[in-house]
Amino acid sequence: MDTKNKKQHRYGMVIDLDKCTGCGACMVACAVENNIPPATAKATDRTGITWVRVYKFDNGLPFPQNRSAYIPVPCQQCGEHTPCVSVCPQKAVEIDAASGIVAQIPVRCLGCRYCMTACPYHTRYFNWWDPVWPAGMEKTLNPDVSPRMRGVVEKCNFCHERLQAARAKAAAAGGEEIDPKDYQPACVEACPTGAITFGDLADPDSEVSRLAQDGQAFRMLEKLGTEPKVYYRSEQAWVRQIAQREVQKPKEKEKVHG
Amino acid sequence: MKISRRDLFKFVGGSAVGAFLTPVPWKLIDDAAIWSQNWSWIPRPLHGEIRTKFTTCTLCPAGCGVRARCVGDQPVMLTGVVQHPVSRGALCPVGLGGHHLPYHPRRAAQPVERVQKNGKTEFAPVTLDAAVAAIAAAISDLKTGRSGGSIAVLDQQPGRSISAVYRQFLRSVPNGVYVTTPNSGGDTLNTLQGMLDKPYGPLGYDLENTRTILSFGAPLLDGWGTPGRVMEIIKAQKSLDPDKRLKIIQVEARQSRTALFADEWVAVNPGTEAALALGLAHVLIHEDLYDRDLIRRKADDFRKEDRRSYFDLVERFTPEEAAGITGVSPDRIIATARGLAQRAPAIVIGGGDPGGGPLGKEEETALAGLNLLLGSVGRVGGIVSRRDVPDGLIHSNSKAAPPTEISNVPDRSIRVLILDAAESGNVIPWALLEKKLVPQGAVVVSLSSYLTGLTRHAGYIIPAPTYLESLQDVPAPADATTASFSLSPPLMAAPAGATEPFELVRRVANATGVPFIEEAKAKTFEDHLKRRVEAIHNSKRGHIFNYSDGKTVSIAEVGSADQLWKILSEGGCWVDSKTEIKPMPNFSLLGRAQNNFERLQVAGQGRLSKAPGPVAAFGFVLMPIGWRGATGNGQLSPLMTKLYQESGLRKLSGQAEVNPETGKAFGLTDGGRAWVETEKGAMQVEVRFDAAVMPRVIEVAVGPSVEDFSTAETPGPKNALDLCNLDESCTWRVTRARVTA
Repeated sequence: MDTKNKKQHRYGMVIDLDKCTGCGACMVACAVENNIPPATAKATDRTGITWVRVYKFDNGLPFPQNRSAYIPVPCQQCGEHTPCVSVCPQKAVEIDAASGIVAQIPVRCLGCRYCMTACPYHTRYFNWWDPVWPAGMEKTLNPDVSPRMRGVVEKCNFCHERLQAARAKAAAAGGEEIDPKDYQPACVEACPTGAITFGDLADPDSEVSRLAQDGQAFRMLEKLGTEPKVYYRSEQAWVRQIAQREVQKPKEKEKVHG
Repeated sequence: MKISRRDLFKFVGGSAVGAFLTPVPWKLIDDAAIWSQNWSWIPRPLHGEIRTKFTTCTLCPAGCGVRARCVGDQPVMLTGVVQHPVSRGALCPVGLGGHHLPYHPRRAAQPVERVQKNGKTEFAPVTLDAAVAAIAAAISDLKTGRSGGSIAVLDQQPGRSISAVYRQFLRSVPNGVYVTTPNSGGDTLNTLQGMLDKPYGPLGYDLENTRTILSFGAPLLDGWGTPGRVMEIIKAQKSLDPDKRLKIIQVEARQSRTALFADEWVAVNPGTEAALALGLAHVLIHEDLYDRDLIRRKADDFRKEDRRSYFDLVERFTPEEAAGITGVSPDRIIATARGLAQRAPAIVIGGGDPGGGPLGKEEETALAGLNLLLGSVGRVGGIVSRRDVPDGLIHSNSKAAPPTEISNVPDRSIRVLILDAAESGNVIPWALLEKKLVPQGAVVVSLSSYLTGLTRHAGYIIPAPTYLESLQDVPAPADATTASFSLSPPLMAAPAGATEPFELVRRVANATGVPFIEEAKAKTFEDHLKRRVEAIHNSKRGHIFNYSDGKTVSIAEVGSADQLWKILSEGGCWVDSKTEIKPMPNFSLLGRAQNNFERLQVAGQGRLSKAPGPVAAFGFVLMPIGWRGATGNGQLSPLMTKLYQESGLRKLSGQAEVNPETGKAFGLTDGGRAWVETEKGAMQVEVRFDAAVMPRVIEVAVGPSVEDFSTAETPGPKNALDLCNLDESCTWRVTRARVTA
């Protein structure tokens, strides 16, 4: 689609951690939408593929003062100095100028995993195995998304195929701009508590913009200057501090996994 | 020019190096990458016409509306129906993967028989006729007196049209027992109904108008009742005045998801919920925070001369006494009781952890009594009675076996047990059913499509069509304040080997010579369902919501029963109109059983007070934990491995959590393995340290296991439930355990 002379969007989301109950609906909906196969028997939290992964973390206090919270972590859709784009030797990671979405192009990917090393958010996943569904279950695959094969990296792309469908619908109606209601990623649609708000951050009137400007909103590892387009918010100060945590060593990471 | 061998090598080497400065090798690599994406074994999605269909989820009793995106007739994605009057757009992770279930590796596509082969249990194919003959032979033995016992059907989603079929069939056979289990959200309500003088109900929670919920372990924010309804209420809170907002107080030994998000979490010692409830009642009575006039008029056992009244029971549970048992400070008990009275209307909800360890009968009686004392029954914002769905099938219990809750079925009494495939979402240990079976010669038949859960113990499996494959009906969920009814029309064809339960009952009835009432009235299950829809239409009550256009019309505007059937079978939901709240009948605060005073007295001391063995020898309290809807008899989509295996968001069977300080004191290591040993046996678990866990408690996940998702092998590893003590009250919530590295 020609995007010249068209409005530049910057799609992003705000995840309200005070509403996230860690139910996992976003993870299942994402896997259904994006044809992510079930785990093999050998898959672990290090080798499995979950484009949006919900982590549990706590305030570090002993029982009964201890409190936990859940944080869904999709690709943070960095806006500046995007580490995965910089290191990819194959141009398999691109930023779509019209939407601001960081897209992974599996057919170009060689599986070098530089991008996984570069990503400070650990939101990229490698296909260690061929995608296998139980016999017959491949009939339930989403026709809008191609399954990837062993040896390539994949990650969240804000359900880009839904954006394409929304664009097609707008074009069919003779319009240029999509109706925001027509473009909601699967995780947003599935969240039963309405914890995820999605929209155009470039539109100052959008709900997502308003929430992102909220004094309680924050982004992960902001000091890196990657300008993520995934915001979080919480009324609890100890929850907001999660944003400043460094990449954890394996033992600490296990604790966070709860 | 003479070309030497050396020149040739130089040329080849130079060309090779030079080629790297051209796009050629990169293009080759790129092409190879593209080409290698297209191996023949990489699945390709179906392509075809995209259609939207609607149905209703039957994987638990909540009955959520489902919008299915289909390629041709094949569902490829399920989502909630935003305007649905019952589920309000929500669909849980189990429901989101519902369209995968027909293809699960554990699926039984045809009848099988449990056999022993080389010392191993296996399931061997059997014909439907042979399976029916085996059931009929066992029933005939009962009829002729050659063997004793009863014939039972376990129905975990009572109130459906097939439930009426079972009940009528069981009325016709000797010693037929229609067995139910407490539904999630309905445990306290069922107990409460038994404490009322007259039939009053079904009951529901008026959550939309209440100001305080005191939940005793109920997973309000994690699959309880109708999840969409609860979430809608929570979402609306921020827009309300602080004074009008709902306050949730979660009483629970563990930091569950609901405890985390509640306004207050009251961490009680495991198994001491009854003591806290009675302690709260003590404060309410002594501070005169209850409706004295209402209690005087309605309660027949508030005070009695024999000193076995509710007042006498509660009198012993002073805040100090209750604090000593529960571990909750006297001040907090007093403050909580005052809060309940000040922030009325308040509702007390029990249930415990239905996925791991539910509360016992005595706890539920104490909680129902607290509701009555608070005046929460029969008022706006409290527990209200609703009208039932117009039936059209069962007009009197003389023609149908009455429901009997599993805990009320005598031990060692069931000769033939048929397990219906529908799920309540609650966990049921096999030991609970096993103790109800006759010791020798019991025949257990499962209608489940999956070789998992309770079905592993069945002698015969006659698989019914699974979710999305057959026409079902969905009555109102247990927590609802108005009746509702919808159909779950099939979206895909059932496999040839699947047998509709209606057809199975008809065959067994024919084989045993039992007059089967339904056969005379309905040739097929669809005919049977149509009679119920006709009854709804004739009632002229309520409205019908159409999933596809999102419109709601009065039932009076629907011209005929056939038209109503058409709307329902295309995705529609009938909801009863609101009615006046009926005045509450007289009640007993202790329940009707003669020995409830003593039983509550004992339960008030805590479930571990009479557990065998010295505390010091065991050291730990084992609490089985589970996620409602995911630990029952049903099957989960293999994609749930994302939650259980690839992220650790939910716990797999055999994963345990202990407090770090306790773990270190007992020589355990974070990430290491340990043995958990109780009177019932031992199992090895993987231990994680978590500061959210109460000291001296080990929380062991009930399941599922990794094998449950990926293999067709049926015998599963030992489960936490196998280690739990099942007490007289049919609860297995807490068990003393020894944990060693």
